[in-house]
Amino acid sequence: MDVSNLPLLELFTRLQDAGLPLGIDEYKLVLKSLQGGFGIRDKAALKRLCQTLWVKSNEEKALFEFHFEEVIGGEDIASNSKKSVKKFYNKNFVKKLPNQFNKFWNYASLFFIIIGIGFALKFIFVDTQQVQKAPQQPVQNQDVVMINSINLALIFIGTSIPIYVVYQQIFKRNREERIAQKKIVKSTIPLESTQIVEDEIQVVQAVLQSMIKNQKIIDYRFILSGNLFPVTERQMKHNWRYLRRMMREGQMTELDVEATVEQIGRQGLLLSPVFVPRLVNKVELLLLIDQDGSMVPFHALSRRFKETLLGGRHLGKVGVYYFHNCPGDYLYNDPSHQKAELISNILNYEGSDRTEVLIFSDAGAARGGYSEERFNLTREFISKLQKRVRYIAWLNPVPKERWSGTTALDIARLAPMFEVSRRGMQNAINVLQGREYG
Amino acid sequence: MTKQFEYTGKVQPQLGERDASGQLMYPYLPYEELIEAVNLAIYLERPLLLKGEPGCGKTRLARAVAYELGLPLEAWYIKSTTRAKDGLYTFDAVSRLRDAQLAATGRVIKDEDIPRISDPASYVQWGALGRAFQNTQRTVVLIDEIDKADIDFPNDLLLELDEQRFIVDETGESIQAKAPPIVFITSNDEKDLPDAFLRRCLFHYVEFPSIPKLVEIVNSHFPAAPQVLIDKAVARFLQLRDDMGKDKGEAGKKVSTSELIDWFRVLRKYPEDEVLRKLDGKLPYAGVLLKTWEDHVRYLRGSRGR
Repeated sequence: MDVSNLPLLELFTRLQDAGLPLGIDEYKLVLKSLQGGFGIRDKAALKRLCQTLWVKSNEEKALFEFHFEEVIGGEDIASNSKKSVKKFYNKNFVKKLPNQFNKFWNYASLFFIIIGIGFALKFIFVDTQQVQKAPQQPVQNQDVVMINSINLALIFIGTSIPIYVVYQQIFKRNREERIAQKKIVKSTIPLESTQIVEDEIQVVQAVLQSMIKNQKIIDYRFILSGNLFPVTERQMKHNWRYLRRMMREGQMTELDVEATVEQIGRQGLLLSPVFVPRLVNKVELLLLIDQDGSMVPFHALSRRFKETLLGGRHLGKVGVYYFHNCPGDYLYNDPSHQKAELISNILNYEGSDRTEVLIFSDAGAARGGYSEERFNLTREFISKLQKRVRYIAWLNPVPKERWSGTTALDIARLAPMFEVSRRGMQNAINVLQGREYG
Repeated sequence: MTKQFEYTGKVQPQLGERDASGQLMYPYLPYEELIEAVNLAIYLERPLLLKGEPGCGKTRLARAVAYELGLPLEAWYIKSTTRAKDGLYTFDAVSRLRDAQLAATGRVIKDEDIPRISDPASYVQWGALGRAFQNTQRTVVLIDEIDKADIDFPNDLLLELDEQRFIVDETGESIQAKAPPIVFITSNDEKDLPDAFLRRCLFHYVEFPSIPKLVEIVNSHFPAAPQVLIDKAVARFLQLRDDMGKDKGEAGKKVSTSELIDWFRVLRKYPEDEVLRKLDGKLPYAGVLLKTWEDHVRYLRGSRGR
């Protein structure tokens, strides 16, 4: 394997674009390892090396495999399939060419034989006639010419009929043969080409399987590799981490040295050390997601929000609920709006004075136009919410410049609304944290 | 330049051999890919993050590597309350206060103890990483189940793992690793680890062993066991695992290698022909393999249908 000529940098940038947390150090690590003699044995070893250094989870592995096949493994697959196609051509066409030549010569020779037979017949006829006419030598030349021409015509007709018959026969047979051959070709091509077709299907399957293996990957395929999202997965995770309200809660496990010393100062001797509970994050977040309708294009984005939020597991409590267009009296536990729950119930049982609400909805900006009803319903909902929760923020997947002239612009006055971008998400988190934003 | 170590996975402890802490040692049979990853981690002096199904031997790897290379092992088992600093050192402030107080009252404490008490360094207790850094030998460090700790935990270890040094705040002492430790980190994926931390680690997913590997593993643990029994037990075990996989999907907890070994140990307690007979019928000693009521019910339902 030629190590000096590997498209490693391309693979690296592709993976980086796909959202893998890779820095230039990680690239250098691969080079260092290659210099150290790792991963140079063959392609599989190189793949394992890159995988160990660059891939950090099973989801990333599927992505890595896909890109590795495309960038480095891809060449092999392409040349393989080219080879097999060539083989296919060789087997089916190059070998058939002589066959067709043969057939042509067969027909040609048949034709010549027939003509030959015709001539032979003619000569025989002429000879016999000449033999027959030999005693009548003194017949006039004109007669001879006439007789000859009649003879010729006779001969022509006599020979052309069998030739025609033979030709018909041959043509028919030829046609039958051709059809039969087509049939044979039809039945032989699969025999030989199934191998290739199968191979190619396997390649496709391999690619697809690596995508399908993890259901999430299908959705990630475009998102991760295309960088289509205004906020990457990393940025989302990063932003969620700012969402914190640390409080001391639980068992007294941490020694408070300062308080202990102070206590000794007061009491004159150490009676018992002072312990305090640990700091824990008590943020309680309700993520309300607008689902279906005009939000269909943003489902992948909302799902990503939800996954990154739940994956971190650092918040006190997270509730994810769904609604359609604008929340009425009910919110739904599932994206398909099957399990409904009264909003008042959610707030009563799950909510507390620490609860924060983040709404993810286009607020009518995706479809455009102004809906009085939507605005009124939303206003009602927000005012109901504001009585119970301290902070509400709104993330709108539609860019801000498209809010004007739609309900979104008015709804933005009810609750701080931000477009989905890194800055927008930061601002929304700031609002939820009770900080200033801008 | 430190001596370059190479892990081969071929040097195995003898049956009944015990390590320094008196624990029984068992053979460890890694795949070629894992061996490569270990050597890469040793060469690049980076921590190796291991993920995989529970019970597939993530934790045991560190011990196996330490055994083969003849290096000391420092294990750091993470709990939900563990803080990053605990792995480096803990400062016993309470003892110091108590001693200071005893010294002040002029009783109990002997005069020769005074210098010890006045030196704050004597109240520093080193953690696993702290000890490894001070060892002149390269030390194998196991940070087990890192995902159990707080989400900030991995980030708090970045500097220590990156630059291999830390400062004891109470004494101002700076500790620089004398020899780069070989660090293994295991995670059960309960929490996402921060990207900054992931970037500094090598990653390897420990796969569930294939059938021949499983047979080999059982063989190495029970060299005296007859082959028929091993083959049959492994086959029965895999059947159960497949059924579990079908029912629960890929995400559910399935029976693991460590449970197979436990189960086999139980099977070995009984006469061979009896066990062989039992393996044909109902799953013997199912309690070793089926840990939840749902698993049990699922198994019973499945076996009735069969």
